[in-house]
Amino acid sequence: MSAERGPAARPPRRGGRSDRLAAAFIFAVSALYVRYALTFQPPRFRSEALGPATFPLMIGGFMLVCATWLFIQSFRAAAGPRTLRTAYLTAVALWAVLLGYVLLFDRLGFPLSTALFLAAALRLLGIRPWWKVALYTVLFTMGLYYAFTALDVRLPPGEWFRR
Amino acid sequence: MIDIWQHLLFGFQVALRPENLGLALAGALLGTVVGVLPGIGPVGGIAILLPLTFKLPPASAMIMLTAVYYGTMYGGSTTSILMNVPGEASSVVTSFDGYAMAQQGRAGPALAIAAVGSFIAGTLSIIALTFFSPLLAAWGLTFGPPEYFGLMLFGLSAVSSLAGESLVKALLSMGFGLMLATVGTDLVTGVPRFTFNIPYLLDGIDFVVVVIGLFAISEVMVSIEEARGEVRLPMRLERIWLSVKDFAQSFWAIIRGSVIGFYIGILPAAGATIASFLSYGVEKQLARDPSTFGRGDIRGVAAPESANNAAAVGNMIPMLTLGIPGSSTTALMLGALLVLNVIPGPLLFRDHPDVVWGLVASMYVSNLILLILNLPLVGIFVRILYIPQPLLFPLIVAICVIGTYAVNFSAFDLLVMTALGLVAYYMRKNAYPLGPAVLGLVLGDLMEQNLRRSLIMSRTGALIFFTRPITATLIALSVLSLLTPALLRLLRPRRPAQAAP
Repeated sequence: MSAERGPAARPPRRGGRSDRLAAAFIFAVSALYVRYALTFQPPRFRSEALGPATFPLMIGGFMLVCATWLFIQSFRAAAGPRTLRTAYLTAVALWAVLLGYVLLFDRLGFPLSTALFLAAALRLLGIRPWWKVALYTVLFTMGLYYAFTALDVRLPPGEWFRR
Repeated sequence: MIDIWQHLLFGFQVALRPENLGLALAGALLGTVVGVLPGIGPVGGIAILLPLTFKLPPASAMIMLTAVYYGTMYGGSTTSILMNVPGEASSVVTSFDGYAMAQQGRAGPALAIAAVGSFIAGTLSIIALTFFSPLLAAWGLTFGPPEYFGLMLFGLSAVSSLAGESLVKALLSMGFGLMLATVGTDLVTGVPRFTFNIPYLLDGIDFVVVVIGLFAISEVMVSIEEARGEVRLPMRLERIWLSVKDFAQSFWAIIRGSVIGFYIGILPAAGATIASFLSYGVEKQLARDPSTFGRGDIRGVAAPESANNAAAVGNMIPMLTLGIPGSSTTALMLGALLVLNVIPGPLLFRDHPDVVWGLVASMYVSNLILLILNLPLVGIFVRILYIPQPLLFPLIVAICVIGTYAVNFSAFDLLVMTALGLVAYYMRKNAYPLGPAVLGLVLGDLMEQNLRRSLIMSRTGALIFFTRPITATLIALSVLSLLTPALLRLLRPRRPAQAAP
């Protein structure tokens, strides 16, 4: 069963150029993958039918073929109407905030990092004014803390606070 | 025959234990909430809830996950009918007539027939599963590693061939999943692979971490982009009821939907979405006056809702009996079982009857819980949609982060999840289906092991895959399934606008 939602599953078809870039990128990554796989040495005194490198090499080869196929196909793709895309900035900005959150999660500890993340994300998605942001941040952070602690999840208090 | 009843009775004893009943209830509630919520689909939702089940015994964990899965299906149809917002692909068809009915003030009967149809279809197909899966499992016992390798190859290629608009993108997605599966220490030789000397990677990448990143994070990002304005219910929700006339009119649609859904569900890759479309089409064909479809015909709700529920059950059969999942959701369940050290397949029926039959019995129970629970509570569930999305999305992301952290208490996992979230966001935006990636990830290790065992037992090298009849058939089917889209395109007359330059 496809788990993608209806609208999300059918994004507007775009021109071939982005596919071409993707194909080149996938090709490069797969080539590095294959190169890495070639360094795997099977331990001596074992006569396995299949060493540690074989299966990855099969996958890598398969990916190289598929990337080439995508590259060729991208020239045939009709250049569809390029849709106006401004909303993606918000999505990517949220991702950047998330990245900051996970980088700080251990160091700042759960309460502080989560509060910072929630405040930034709520603000980014348009919650105004600041007192509302603060209110929701405090409520959510406490709610999450109690919910997960009740479920026996150990949340980090933060390195800086332990000292 | 007697055996089956005994098994089932045993299963009910497992499923009806108070703690398991409680978990099923909690799972059904959580699942319904996830199904109603925007920004998180069934797969992402189940993935986030997975860490909660790790401390449970396997049977209880599976009972809870099944209840969650069922709950998401119910929740998805509710929003589909009331708001024309299908919670998932398999309830898209439901919105055609369901939303039309809601606009005519017949939301009550639409919701009721969806619930009753799902219940009947679920029950019928669980009965079919009860009789069918031991047979398939017994057959599966005769399989050796080459057959399993062939079966996995077929599962992967079938899912990829049906997954999206572009076959090559589906295959790339599958390869991506397989690549992720090879990270970590090689089980046979002990060689670390693709670990970049990072100790965290020696155990491989936890599949829960991958799935939360791929499905949940990217889904929130896409939802932000497509954020809709304020949600408004089309009408006041009256009591949910169903008249005898409505039921009589939909009865055969439910039965046909159940049968179609069940058989489609067993096939790899097909599953609930296709089953729902197909059964809708069949009802429309059979109707004396097809023009009522799309304008609020109750059969147009009954058939797809029955079919997608039956398919969800049918989907479980290859996963439980052969250990081959045919969809993202069952791949997730397979992954969950592997984490719990339970290996699905023919031996599961012998070694873990409590898991198998407890799971089967819990499907009956979850169905009943959802039927009883959902009808009176629909109004409350729908209220979740009134929560403004800017409040909801940060909360969902924070839950993803904590859920991921709870898997291994590792900050490195968080980084992996975040990175994969961005990758999956790109994939979603550019029509790469995510299902094949999850399937590749879950099946990668098993495929390699079976490939190795096949070659060790073979005296003719790779020829073993072509000399054993079942294996050869499966490999032929894999090739065929990959060629099907291209063949269909050749058969269809080309439109001049599509001609290649």
